Amino acid sequence: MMVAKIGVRSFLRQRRRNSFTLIAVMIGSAGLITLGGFVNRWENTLTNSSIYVNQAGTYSVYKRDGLLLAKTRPKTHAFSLEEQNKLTSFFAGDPQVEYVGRLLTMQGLVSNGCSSYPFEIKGYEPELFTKLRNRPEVLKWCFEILGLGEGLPFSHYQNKAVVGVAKGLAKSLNKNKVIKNADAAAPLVTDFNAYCHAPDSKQKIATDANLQIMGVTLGGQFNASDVDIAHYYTTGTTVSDYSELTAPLSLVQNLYDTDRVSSLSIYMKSPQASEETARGLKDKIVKATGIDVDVYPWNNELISPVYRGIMDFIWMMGLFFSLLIGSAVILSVVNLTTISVLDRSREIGTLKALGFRTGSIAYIFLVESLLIGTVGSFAGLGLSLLTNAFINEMNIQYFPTGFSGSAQFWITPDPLISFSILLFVFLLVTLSSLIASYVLSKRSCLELLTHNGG
Amino acid sequence: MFVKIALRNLLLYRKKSLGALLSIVIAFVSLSLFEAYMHDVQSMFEATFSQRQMFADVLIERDGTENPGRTGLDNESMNVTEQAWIESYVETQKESVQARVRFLNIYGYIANGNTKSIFAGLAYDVKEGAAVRGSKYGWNTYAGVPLDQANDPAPIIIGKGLAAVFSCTTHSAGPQLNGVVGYSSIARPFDCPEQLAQLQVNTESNQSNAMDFKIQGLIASGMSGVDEHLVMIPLDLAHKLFNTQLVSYMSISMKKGTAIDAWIETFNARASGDHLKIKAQRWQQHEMGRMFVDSIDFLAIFRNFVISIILVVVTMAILNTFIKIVHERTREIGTLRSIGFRPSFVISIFVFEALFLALSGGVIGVIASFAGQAMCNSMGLAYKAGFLSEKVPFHVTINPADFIWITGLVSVLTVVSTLAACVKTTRQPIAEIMADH
Repeated sequence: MMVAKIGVRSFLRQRRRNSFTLIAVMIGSAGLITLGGFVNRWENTLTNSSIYVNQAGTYSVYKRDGLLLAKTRPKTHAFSLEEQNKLTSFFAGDPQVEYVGRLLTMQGLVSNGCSSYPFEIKGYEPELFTKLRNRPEVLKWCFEILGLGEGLPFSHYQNKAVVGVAKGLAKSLNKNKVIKNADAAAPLVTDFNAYCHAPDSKQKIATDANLQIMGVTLGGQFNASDVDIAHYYTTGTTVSDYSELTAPLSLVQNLYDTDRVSSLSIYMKSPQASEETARGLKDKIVKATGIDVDVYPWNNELISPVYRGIMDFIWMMGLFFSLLIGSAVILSVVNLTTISVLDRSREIGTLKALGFRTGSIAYIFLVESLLIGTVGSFAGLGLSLLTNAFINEMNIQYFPTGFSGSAQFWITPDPLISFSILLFVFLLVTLSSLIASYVLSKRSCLELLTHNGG
Repeated sequence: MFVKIALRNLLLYRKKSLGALLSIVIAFVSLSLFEAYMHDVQSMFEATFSQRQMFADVLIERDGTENPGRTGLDNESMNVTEQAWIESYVETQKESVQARVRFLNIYGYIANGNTKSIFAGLAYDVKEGAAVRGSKYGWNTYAGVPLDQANDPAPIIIGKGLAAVFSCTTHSAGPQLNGVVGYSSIARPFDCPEQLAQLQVNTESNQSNAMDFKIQGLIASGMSGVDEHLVMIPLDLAHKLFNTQLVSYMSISMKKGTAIDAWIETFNARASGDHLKIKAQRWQQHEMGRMFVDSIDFLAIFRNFVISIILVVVTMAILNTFIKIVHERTREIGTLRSIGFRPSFVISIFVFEALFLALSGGVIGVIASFAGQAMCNSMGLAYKAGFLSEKVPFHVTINPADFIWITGLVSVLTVVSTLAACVKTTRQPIAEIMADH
């Protein structure tokens, strides 16, 4: 008890000297927590965006090779209605499955009457999507990509001939109106050449919310449909933002004259998924239904290339930066604590001369370093909380690589990662001080009392 | 004399000085390796955009277009008059212009056997394009040959994803092309069940048209999500297929030593003077270069963040060391003051000591940085850099010029820490200094 008392007293007495170590510990841990908070923000945003907003589900189930070929060879690589029913009943029996979504992704050309652009249209079930986008985790992490411009989700429209247009494609098509705010109905044009090359063609095209979408049916016939724009959205990435459309599943099935779907998205209660669990699920499906399928976890590179590309980059960068900050903190803290202990050689010598054993002296320093570690770590946590709250409050916008819009510089530390950082810094301070004091207190009294600290 | 005393003190208090030296070296190595990482990422992206994507140095297109870099067969692409003006201007600039490439964005359906898919591709001047890609990216197909090497009168190269849809196969995994290394100029064999691909399009006047092309090579664009629809064909064939003379944009490769910004300024002034709505700009300022600028800005935010933390932590260590050094030498300071040395002289001794320490830290830091570089580059780590579809090796590339500002920065840091530690003590009355100890 007395030894602990001496340790506490010593900590208070040496407060000026200890303040340098405290500041280093505080800044270092706050920096690492903030860095972890940045990585955590993107991990959560991209995870929820991949699973729920992009509707990959926890697992994506395709017919064998369907991921590559369902869009271009749906007859052979998309699920028939019978197969869909078999699979849906299989998943209905699994208590871990929350929802099963059906997606039909096809290709075609979209035109504003004057120019055509290729698109990939994703047909989904509007009611399920409304449920998914209203999940608390989606609202929390994906707020930047949930906006629908001035439009509304498909489930709000009686008319099912509606599409969602990705913002980049909308720009190419020179469209910015949605059904409810369109200035005019689609014009009846007889001479497209004159209409499209008129000086005011751009303004005319922009006044209505009408588009024509064209595709080749499964029977090989060209088909087209007049559609209205229900909303604009962002896919989150520059590349896909210029080529994507969405629509209710029924519209896409009508356009391509089919009842097939490209894939089923399985939403499990837990988002944890790996290639191994996907393989296990595939085996079960094949055994139970006899349908040859490919099952991909949501974080597979082919299913969520955006997640993998961005997170690989952020993790690599974050680890490299943490390594740099970590080495600076480690060496500086070890330097500070060692010098601090060395500086007190005479004090150690005096304690030894008074009869304190090596263990007791090391214990005094341990108490002192425990206090430094605790105060420093908590101060670091406090500083990071304050800094992060300040940064988040400022709503700083920046353009992450390849992201189609700006994103908030939002720091949200993960409690587990933050705790690990604090524990690491705490142990670093404690152990470096303990080792230095233990080594020093093993020296003889004479040596310690005559030591000049240099 | 300052120098002598300072050097002597460094040796005399070498244990403590070593502590400060270590902190300086850490700061130096951290900063230089960080900058080295930034340089590597920058050069990787620059090569990808400038050479591989053939953006060269300058991009020219319609001014004020809604879709920079993405215009196709619409009013926003450059017409024949504008192109002719640019051609004649470039002709007068032979001393500064190396090559110019014209591009047209093309869209439509591509059919191969029984498979039909949409395409979003690029038509360009093949010879000039090869010149802009240079030796590193001249050979831009991972299988087959680039357009400029093709013998067929109607050649086409298709993206990796599209090749998979058409069941085209290569005999080996082939080399990986990324921002660091290019392909070797070898026609690696590939097989497509159907060698002919038909492009079905709408012409500029909205008429349907189609043309057969022979698949000559397979290309990986380097950008995720692009390869699934990518095709590349010669510009003259595209003009014939789409029955147009439009050009989406042009890229200009400048000769070494050309003042690019001045060239752009003159070009824009002349074009404006001739009432043409065309604009030249560096590709980095163009919408298509936004990914590059965003990446570098993003890294810069982190650089500032990391530098701030490292500097504060290291300053604490240096400050602490110098406070101890000064404290232990209070008697020495008192003695110097009592024999007539002014406070500024004593402070100068400490400042010189700090400077020597910073310079020694710089020298050791340079060696340690190169060792760090060798270590990082030999680890063989590869990662996906954002939207580049192929993994890139984790490399750092030290730029020796960085050593100058880093040495300057750590020197200032060390000197300021030293001043903070010694000014108060040296300015005290001599009796107080001697009594304090």
